Amino acid sequence: MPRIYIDDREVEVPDGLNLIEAAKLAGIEIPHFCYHPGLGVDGNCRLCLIEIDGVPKPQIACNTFVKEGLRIRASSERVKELRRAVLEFFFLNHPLDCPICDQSGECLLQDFYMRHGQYESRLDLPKVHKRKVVDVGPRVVLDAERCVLCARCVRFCDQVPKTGELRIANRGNHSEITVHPDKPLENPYSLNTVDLCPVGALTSTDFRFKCRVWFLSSARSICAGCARGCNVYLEHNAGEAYRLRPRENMDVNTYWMCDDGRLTYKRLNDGRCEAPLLGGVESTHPQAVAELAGKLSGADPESILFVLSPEMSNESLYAARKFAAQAIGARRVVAASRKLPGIEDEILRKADANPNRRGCEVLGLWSDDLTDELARGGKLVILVQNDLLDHAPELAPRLAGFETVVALATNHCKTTAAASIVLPVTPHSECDGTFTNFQGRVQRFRRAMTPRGDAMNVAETLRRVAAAMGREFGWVNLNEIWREMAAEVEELSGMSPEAIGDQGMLLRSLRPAKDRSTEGEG
Amino acid sequence: MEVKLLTARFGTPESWSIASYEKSGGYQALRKALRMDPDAVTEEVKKSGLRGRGGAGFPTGMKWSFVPKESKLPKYLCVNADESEPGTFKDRYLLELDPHAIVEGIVITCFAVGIHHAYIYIRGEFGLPYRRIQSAVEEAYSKGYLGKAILGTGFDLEVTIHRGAGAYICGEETGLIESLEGKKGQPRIKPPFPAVVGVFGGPTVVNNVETIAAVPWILGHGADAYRKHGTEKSPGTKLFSVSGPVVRPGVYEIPLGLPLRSLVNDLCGGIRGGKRMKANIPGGSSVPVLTAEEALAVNLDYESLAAAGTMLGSGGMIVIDEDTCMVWALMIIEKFYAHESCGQCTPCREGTGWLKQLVARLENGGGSPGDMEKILSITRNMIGTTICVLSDAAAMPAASFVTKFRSEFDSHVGAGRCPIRRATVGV
Amino acid sequence: MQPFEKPDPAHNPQLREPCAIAKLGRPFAFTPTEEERIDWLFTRYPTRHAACLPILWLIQKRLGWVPAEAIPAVAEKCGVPESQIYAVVSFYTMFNRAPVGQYHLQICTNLSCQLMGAEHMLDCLRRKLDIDLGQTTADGLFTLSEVECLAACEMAPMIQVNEDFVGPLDEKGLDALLSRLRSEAR
Repeated sequence: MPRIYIDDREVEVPDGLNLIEAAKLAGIEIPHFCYHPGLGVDGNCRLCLIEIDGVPKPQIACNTFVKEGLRIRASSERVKELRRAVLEFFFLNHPLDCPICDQSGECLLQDFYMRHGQYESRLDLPKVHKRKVVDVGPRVVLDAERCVLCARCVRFCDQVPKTGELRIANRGNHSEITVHPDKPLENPYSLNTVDLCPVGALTSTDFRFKCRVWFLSSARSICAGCARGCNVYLEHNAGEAYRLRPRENMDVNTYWMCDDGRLTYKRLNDGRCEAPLLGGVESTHPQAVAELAGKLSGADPESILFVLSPEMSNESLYAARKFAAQAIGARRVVAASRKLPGIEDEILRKADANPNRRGCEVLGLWSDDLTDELARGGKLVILVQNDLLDHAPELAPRLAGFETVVALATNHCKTTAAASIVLPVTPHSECDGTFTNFQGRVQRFRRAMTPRGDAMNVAETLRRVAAAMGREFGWVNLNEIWREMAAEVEELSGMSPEAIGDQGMLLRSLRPAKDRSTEGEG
Repeated sequence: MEVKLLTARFGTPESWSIASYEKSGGYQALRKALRMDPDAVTEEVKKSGLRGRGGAGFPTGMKWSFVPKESKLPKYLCVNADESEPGTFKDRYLLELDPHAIVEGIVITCFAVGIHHAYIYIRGEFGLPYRRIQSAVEEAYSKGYLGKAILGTGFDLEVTIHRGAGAYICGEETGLIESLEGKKGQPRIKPPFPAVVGVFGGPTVVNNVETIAAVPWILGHGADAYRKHGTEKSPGTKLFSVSGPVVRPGVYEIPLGLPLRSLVNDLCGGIRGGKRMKANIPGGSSVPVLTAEEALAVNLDYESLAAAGTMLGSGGMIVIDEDTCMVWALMIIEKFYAHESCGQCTPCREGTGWLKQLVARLENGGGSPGDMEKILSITRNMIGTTICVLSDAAAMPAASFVTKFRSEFDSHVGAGRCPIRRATVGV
Repeated sequence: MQPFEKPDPAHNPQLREPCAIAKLGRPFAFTPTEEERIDWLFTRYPTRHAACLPILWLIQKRLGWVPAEAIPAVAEKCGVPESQIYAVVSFYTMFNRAPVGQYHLQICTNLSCQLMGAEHMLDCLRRKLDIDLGQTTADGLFTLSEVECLAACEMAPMIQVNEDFVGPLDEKGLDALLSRLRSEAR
């Protein structure tokens, strides 16, 4: 690895890196707007100017690459002066409307000014006015006056969805981001431009003015919109989820996520099952648990059908499977979904709209043949996180063939409407767990918010049911489930929440032989 | 005092026709070059010391030799006929009056570098020059100087004329390349340089019209003959475009090193109405201005002008007489650069507009005492901080005007209106 | 709350576009001759995209300007998004985004011309034509524009009349020019 010197500090960095990345590895920030690792070098913002020993003119760090012995100055007086100067140029025609700007608090212009700017204002001339509050597309709003013209959004649309809706029109200080008037920004990845925008020029129609960003807490999560399982930050405040933002994972979603996936947070807020229902009437959790325990105790295990779902975490699936087998002795356990396939593309979106079908398969639960199981009927059918009837209403008469329909559900749906016992369970925003994506990558999501109402996770709910039946069943925590799961399920061997980490871990059969031990990737 | 190598045919009737060109020995240099080894052609041009006549003054032969011999993608020549530097009009003369010299220069250049397609990027505003070069290319095709197997050799060359559409920045070589590819003419970051990755991804030579037009003469007469003119370090001749209130504005081909005084006073007949010169912009509006005193002492070659703190640039000399307000003149210059900044780099996009506004406010008598320091500080932040040199081009005149004519700027502060501005001609 | 209200684009069309391009009011199509020329252009460049400027020139040659309806047609020819052509048209000053008069008078106001009295010539033109910059005379004959250096400084102050350069101008010469143009008008 080449050795370079940043402000006389020797650092060893991998070959091929530009100086922004190299400095980052050394813990040194070189401020920049236009460079983005997912979009490459453009060189227009000029904020990353640094000095190189032996080179007379300042150079842009983004387009200078590491070379053995390179000596650069990233904090010399001249470099500091240049940064102040470039920031001053940015502010020349900037409206300085931070109090009413939605980007406030996560604005790079604000942050860089705090760290590298701070000069006395010399701006005393009229500003150039541009368009404000323009719907450039159904999901994105433009304020052209705030724009720093870094062209990240333009390059994103050119390089990733390859739709090219955005361009910079005009020239000089009249340059302005725009779409062609008849071609709005509506590609299925358009909201990434909002993340990429370092300032408040592009904002999300959905998120605008909902919440000041400094009130938001952020949890590492997984998008449950499809089988890709894009790594995300789930951002929330006071028990409400506000938005999803992509979290870098080069093996899964790189830096992006799709617009549909982003809106899946709404289901975490709206139409939630918060209280247990008995015969459609709100009840207490112990009562509902006792009612279910009673039904289970009185039924022949062969007459009990568990319908699990690919919306459940691996832990919930495992817990439910074990509960059926161990606490009840039931053998009729399947996981199924009747969701119609969504749109698949070559970027991120997968047709399979379920986050954890692969997990169901690994646990031997997946079934495409649900109709037959339902046709056999029985005393009890227990549907867990499965909104079957919303996607296959024709199955309603089949469910009616069971004496009792039980739903463990996160949200109200046609299944909960058809159930006589409903127990609220937590969605992935309110518990820890893992999904296995279509690649066979087991990925962790972290609890973001406290469970709503009486909701609790599936394993805990079932432990209580077992307890009410007088049976010993359950685990103390997630790690304990994992220890058992990893020992029992070969594909999961070597895994633990810790080993899976933030970047996920492939199923055993997919890992290169040398990595099949307990070593994680995260 | 004039040495007419490239302008020798300017006075001939129908000088733009192939008949006239051939009659005066045209296309003989090409015949000679085609019998040479391509590398020897490049060597000859290197030996001549010819430097790029577009403004940057980079040695031409060296530029050619940067192009890799072997390339997966086709190599290209772009002839920069996007003459737009204010005060410069010599390429227009060459295009109008001696277009075949350009065509011949193109063929020789492409033969030397191993190029089979050349583009002439001509500024969109040029009507007559476009028609002249267009018909010259057609004539050259019909006479076998262009196309397949040129003059019976195995060398093929296509030439395409490409019209710009109004953007000064397309005169910058990578802006030109972007524009030729059908995009906005926004300069590219370097590296990679055009010689490695240029137009359509292929290695590309971009040469100015005057540079290309000098190639046939150099090949025809030899590098030594070319070096007989000019100075040791600035050999050959240069076309100067002289404008402003001189008696005989126009294009003059002079040996490099000629005293500026001779060009202005003798060739151009001095300042109109017996007025005195106040200032001189020797190389197009982007180079630092000279005071009359400095100007009258300087020689017109790359080194002398650099020593005087300015540049030879494109040789577009703008003469400013004693009646002119320098704040007013700078305001016009800065209006231009603000209009022409492509908008890509922050210091240029914002700096050009800032300078324009500040100078305009001063000219209108609304400035404040700190404005001059502010202008100087802005120019420091604009020089050497951007992808191309348009930013420098806007900053250098501002810095030099304010520094050299400070009292004129000071006199505007608090004046309420321009205290100097002369009555415009014709009133 | 005031600042958060969305302006209604219907009331302020400028809010919709940074670069206003007028509409032809009827569908745009290339003529057979233009189609032929475009096919030839495609043989001169390794990419279709590169034919963008020449194709826009063809349109301007026929109509005198580039209407909004032509942009999708050019984009399709060049195989690029409409936004690309839209931005190109906004970048280059020579593409007229609205109809211009039979004679487009473009007066240079850069330094060499100004030193020789361009501002006075501009005032004269304003007065004689009774229009300001960017406007067209009521009879549709003249459109007046200001341009930067046209590389004809030896004929300062100068003006471009459609494709031709005219200069040096003085008030008398301007009168003669205008009456000649009027007499030659279609």
